[in-house]
Amino acid sequence: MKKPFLVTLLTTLLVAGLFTRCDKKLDLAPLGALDEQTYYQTTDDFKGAAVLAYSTLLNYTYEQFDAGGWFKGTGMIDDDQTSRVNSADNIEEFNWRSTDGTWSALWSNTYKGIQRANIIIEKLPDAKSVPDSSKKTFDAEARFLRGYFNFFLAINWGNAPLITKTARSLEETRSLNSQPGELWDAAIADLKIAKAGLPAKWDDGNRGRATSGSASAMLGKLLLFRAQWDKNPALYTEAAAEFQGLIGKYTLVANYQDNFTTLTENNAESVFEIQMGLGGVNPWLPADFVFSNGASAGTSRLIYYRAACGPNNNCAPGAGGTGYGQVEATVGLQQEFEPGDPRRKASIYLDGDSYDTGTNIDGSQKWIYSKLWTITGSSPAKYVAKDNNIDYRSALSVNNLRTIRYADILLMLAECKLVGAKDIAGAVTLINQVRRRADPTGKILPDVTVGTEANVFKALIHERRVEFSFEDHRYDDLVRWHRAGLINVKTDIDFGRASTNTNWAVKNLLKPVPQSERDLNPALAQNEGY
Amino acid sequence: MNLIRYFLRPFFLIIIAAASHGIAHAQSRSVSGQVIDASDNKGLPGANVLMKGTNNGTTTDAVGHFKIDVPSGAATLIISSVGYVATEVSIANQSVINVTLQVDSRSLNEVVVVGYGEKTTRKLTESIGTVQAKDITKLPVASPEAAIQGRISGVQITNVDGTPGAGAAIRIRGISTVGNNQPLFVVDGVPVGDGTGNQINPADVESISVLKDASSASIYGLRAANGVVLITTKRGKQGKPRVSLDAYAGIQNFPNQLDMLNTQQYVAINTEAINNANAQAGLKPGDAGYQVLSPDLQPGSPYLNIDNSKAWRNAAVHKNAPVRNYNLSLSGGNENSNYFISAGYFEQKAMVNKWDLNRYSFRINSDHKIGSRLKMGQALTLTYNHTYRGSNGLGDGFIYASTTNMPPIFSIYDTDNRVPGNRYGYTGNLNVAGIVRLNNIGINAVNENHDYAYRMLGNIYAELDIIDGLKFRSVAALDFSTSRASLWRPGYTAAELGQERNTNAYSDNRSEGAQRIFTNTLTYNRQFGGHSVNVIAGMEFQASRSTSLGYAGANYQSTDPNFYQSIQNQQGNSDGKGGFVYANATSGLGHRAYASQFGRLSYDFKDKYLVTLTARHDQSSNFAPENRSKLFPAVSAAWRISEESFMQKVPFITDLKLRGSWGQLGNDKIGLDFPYLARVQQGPWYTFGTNQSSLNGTGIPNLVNNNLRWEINESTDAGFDLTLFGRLNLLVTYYNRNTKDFLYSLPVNSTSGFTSIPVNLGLVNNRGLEVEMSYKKSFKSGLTMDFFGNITTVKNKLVALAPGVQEFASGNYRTAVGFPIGYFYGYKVKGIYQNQEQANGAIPDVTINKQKPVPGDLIFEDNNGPGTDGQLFSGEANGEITVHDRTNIGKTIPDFFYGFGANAGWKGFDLAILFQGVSGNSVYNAYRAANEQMTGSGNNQLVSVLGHWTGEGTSNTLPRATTRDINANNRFSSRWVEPGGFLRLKNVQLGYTVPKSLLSHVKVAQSVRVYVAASNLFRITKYTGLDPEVSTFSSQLQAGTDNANIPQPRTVQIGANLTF
Repeated sequence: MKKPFLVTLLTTLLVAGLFTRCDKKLDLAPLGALDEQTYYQTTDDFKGAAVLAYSTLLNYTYEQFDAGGWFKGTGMIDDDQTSRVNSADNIEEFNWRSTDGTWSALWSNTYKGIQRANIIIEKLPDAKSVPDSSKKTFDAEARFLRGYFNFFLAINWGNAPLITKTARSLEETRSLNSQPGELWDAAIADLKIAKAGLPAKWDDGNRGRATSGSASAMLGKLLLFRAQWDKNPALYTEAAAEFQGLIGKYTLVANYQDNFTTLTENNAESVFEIQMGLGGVNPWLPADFVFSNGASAGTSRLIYYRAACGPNNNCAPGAGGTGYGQVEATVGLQQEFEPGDPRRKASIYLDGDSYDTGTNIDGSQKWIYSKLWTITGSSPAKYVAKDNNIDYRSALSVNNLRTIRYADILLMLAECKLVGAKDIAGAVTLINQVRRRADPTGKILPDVTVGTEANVFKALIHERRVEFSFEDHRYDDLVRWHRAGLINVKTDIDFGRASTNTNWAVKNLLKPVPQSERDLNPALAQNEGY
Repeated sequence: MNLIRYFLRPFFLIIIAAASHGIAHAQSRSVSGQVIDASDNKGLPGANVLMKGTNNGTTTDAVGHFKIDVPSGAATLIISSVGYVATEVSIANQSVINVTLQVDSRSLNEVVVVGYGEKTTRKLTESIGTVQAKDITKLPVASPEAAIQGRISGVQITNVDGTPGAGAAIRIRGISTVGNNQPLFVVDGVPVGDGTGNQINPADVESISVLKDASSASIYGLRAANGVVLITTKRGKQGKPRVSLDAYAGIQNFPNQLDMLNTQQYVAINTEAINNANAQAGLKPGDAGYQVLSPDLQPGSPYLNIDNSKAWRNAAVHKNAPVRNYNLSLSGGNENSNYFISAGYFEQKAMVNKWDLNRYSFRINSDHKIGSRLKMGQALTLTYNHTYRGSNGLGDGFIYASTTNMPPIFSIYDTDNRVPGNRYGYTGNLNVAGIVRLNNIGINAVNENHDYAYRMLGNIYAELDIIDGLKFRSVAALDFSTSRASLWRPGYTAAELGQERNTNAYSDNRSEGAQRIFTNTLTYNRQFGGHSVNVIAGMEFQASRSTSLGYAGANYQSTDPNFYQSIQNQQGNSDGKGGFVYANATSGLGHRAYASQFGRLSYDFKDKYLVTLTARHDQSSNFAPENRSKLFPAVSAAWRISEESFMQKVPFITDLKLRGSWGQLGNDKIGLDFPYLARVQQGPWYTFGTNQSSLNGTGIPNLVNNNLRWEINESTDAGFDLTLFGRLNLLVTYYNRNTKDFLYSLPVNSTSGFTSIPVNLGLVNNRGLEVEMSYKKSFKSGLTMDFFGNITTVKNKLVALAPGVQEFASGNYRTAVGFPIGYFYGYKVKGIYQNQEQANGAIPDVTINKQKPVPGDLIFEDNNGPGTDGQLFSGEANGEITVHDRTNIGKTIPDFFYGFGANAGWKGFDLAILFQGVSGNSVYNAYRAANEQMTGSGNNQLVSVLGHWTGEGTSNTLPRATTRDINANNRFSSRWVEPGGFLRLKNVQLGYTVPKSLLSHVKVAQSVRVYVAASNLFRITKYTGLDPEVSTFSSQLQAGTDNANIPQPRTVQIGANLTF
């Protein structure tokens, strides 16, 4: 009696236990996570996607990331900046190698940005709850950024791969070099759509996003560069047309220094800025070091630029703690400023200047800058002076990087007129407009006079150098002028160090393709000379 | 006087044998006697009594008696029984022969825990390595798996490092994947993941079975490809309550130290580096770029009077770091119930300062018979782990590395109050010689890290005998764990500690996980005729869920860490540009489920022909529905040749078994949740708007792969078990494992915007031989000895990768077709250019822009040019040094690993010795790479740099000192990769058991054993760093890099085992 009961019980249990299908219990999905199939539907979704694409720009300017990506790879290599480091610096000394982290940081962050733009462009057509007008804006915005990134690729690596859609498989991640001109063409097409689709101005809640003016300026800049890279004078006219369209839509701010302080960001002169903010948990990490746990949204440029100790161990206040002194101003740049040029104080510190930075911003201590804190006798004041955004994070500054400002538009237009249309007088007017803002009296910085094209071009080179020091345009300028035959970098430029001058070679007009990329895809060609 | 009888017993046997010698017989007669079991002095039933050279034999009755007719001329009887050492006795003219059989050292009746059951060694067809309780508790370590190093063939155990509770990397029969190689751990039937996480008290462990081949492991299906480690905890035995107290205490020390330059040498090498650089660039004082030694290092500087080259190291090291363990258990039972209850306390401090591991553990195991057919029981363990640590710049546990190389002119403490307002008493050495270094001694001291882990692991079962031989068993288990990690970092300034972090910060991260397992099995056991059948069928459902929550806060008003537990106390606001809230919550949520059906059929005929068939059908929620399920089959068979009658003529072969197996297994440890779904995440910030609000960007962080599956491992093995003379055991196994479709996050071109894609690709082969030997002998004097040893060879090769992919690199490691997984990938150093003539003849080096080396620079080998058509290398020298000349400069997988040792006992004394080693692997001495650079930078350098190149013929290995390393002498090269083989005296233990006669006076303790032991007492190695035993826990791709990791401690301990 007991036995049959048990047997029945067990048989029941077994049937229940062994043969119950558990399939349904296995149909689990990620908890608390969005997935691609259901995302990319609403306006908010695309705003998030746009923020992500912009955020890539912060990775660029995060100087502690991968051997100082941007600041080393775009800034330090010019003849305005030099590192104080005693030992040899391969990047600064043009010993560029395909294994340098600097290049792979710039390369990979650029392509990350392209992917983030691509997915917006791909997903928009299927977004059901985004109004067509918004679709147009989002598309234009993504194309602005993609154009920006592709232009960056073109001028740094030449025929780098052109990526137009998101990879979905291993095979699709291996890309070949683009054909000559392809990157430029793609960027031009994108920027034209961006110019047409972006608003001229954003509301207060969206200030800082790209505008039609940003797109037009980028397009003009690109055309100017291409005119010189391809030695195609017709493009000067096209570039000039873009710049001409912006005349009057922006103004030069009265105080030159307002372009470099936190409180005067996105001002009337600003055409496009990289917006620095506070961000998340760990300010020592770049914006998307850990994707889901984003870190800094600012820049540690401040701590990088602030002076530290000189060769004889004279140290600036905060040296080592809030100032690493990695960037100094070359003697060449110091001498480039005309005596009394008000831009000098806003650009570089010299012996005897008041050192108005960081904890001293309230003037509580009268610190006086000493040339002994550096090797060259000078370090950057631009983006440093009057930047009070030193808090406990020390390294973090929210001071925007001014990517394109109106003064640049004026001088690029001057260049188009001068070199393209041979309108020397027109060029001189524009150059003088920039000089008048720096010195409204005209006594310190007298007008450039109409002379030979060569003389005015010299004046233009000078004006760009003093106007834009530490704004990361200089090396790009040198490269395009060299390509256009307007200068010869090898003979005309003094980088401030014997070894640097010796090492510069034609191959340095382009950067090496990162070796890690070629290890993964041997079919990817290396640039000449690396 | 049992003890004396025990020791004298062999003499009686000798006397009997001697007395019976030499007397002949003429006709058949009867001989009788008793076979006695030496272990309990009782009659041994079922023992075989055979007349040597004939088939004439009998077996003993229930009390060990036998009677046999022997013909005239028969001289010898062979007495044997499974699990005992066969004995021959001379018959002579005796009519009564009493024989005592000694238990075999490797008993064939020994019960081995297998998946979902047990088997006797005799019936095993599978490859399973076992370690018993007594060996598991010999080492003073926190986890049972760390204690079995060197004891099982085929199982390589490498401690990740020597910090308390550090994980143990376990590799069974090679490296089967580029991903997670850790085996599946199963504790009392509950799969707990890829290790015990220090949460199983080694003293509670009865045995560990390592399932090495496909046949034994396949019953764990898709999680078994790296093998399975079954841990069985102790249960009560029948008898009076028994109280055991085990206690030990020991001290740990560094086996060796790294010596750095003193101040004078430090200044000298920096001066030389600067002088060389200036000379090489042709610079004179006053030239731009002319380098000058820091005034702080120039003659007359007060800093030159400071020499802290040893002080920094001494401040990091904790001499005689204690390790202690107390374990109390109560066990007992009767025929209906048994119980085992234990409590343990384990404490270990690290050999560096401020690292203190404490573990409290409790266990209750019991079994109960309810009526004649039902049995119920349970197992439950509770553990509380607490680790108290500091933290420092290089990461936890690297304080030794981050302080030994401090410039010797740097001070640790602010003794002369040079730092105004100093809160901690340390100094950041700010503005000393222009060098910025964190004072990690100070940072480690002021930071407070607490890691807490709580775990409850329990199960309850019911087992019913349905009919004779048919059993139903149902087990429900729960594995619940929570953990908490808090970090308190008070603010400090660069002047105080060399780094500006002047805000009090606190973070607290908590997580919890629960895993439910429900297992039902039906087993059937039947013997008929010579046939024996064991069948098991079962199902298992497993579901787990985990959550985590944490926050970080700063700018609090107080510096009392407790203040930080309350988030309201933090200061600041979220207006963006001014102060702001540094409080960020993080959280996570995950779940997973498995459903499986499995079965096993074991059949044998007369213990002679044995076969086992196994299959498991597994489903995992982690994969797309169409790729979710698979059947994993396996088969194994054995033939015990020694049971054949023809083998009876070879009496010295006690046992010989041939065996082989084949099967398929899976590995789903890919570290990715739902890798087939493209997830959208929020993360990176950007700022819009006039009020500058930061927004989170949203996007797809990773590439996904819809077709992702688990990897499949196909394993074959064959071998034999041989016992000779009843005392020499030999086990030989050849294994061959192929891992197909291994899972890997393959790095992709960053042109995609992504860094990697998870893919199934490739084929990895592991082959090798396992040999285990043991020998046991007793001597007349009462001395017993046994020797054991094992050795395993590994030949690891990546056979194929994805189409079009021949290799991939991660850092200094590379994995390429035709090579072992994760070999070191760098330039090969051929020597040093000794003079200008040689330097002039250097081939162009593209990687340094063809700059010419100078005498004293390294010569790198030209062995490859760029390849064509998807091939990276041409395989031929091309007359210049390029990145393609990086090559295989060492592998992290050894050629072989081994363990051997001995146990001896004599009159209450016992001695155990264990050696363990590996051979043929390489270690990247990253610490040496960082501190032998001689580039004049701030770090102090190892004393080895004193032998560097200073002129023709001075060195052919260590280059010149220069701050302008144009030749990139310090690039990753064979210069930094060293042989990593070692032989270590892992453990030696000498114990003494107090004679019972003495204890009888005390009348408290039943047995008392005291012992002294030492671990890692000495080692033989060519490696120049602290310890070549460095590893990574799960993946082999970064294993074998030594950043001056904390070495295995040299521990001396004393202990006692008491039973009441």
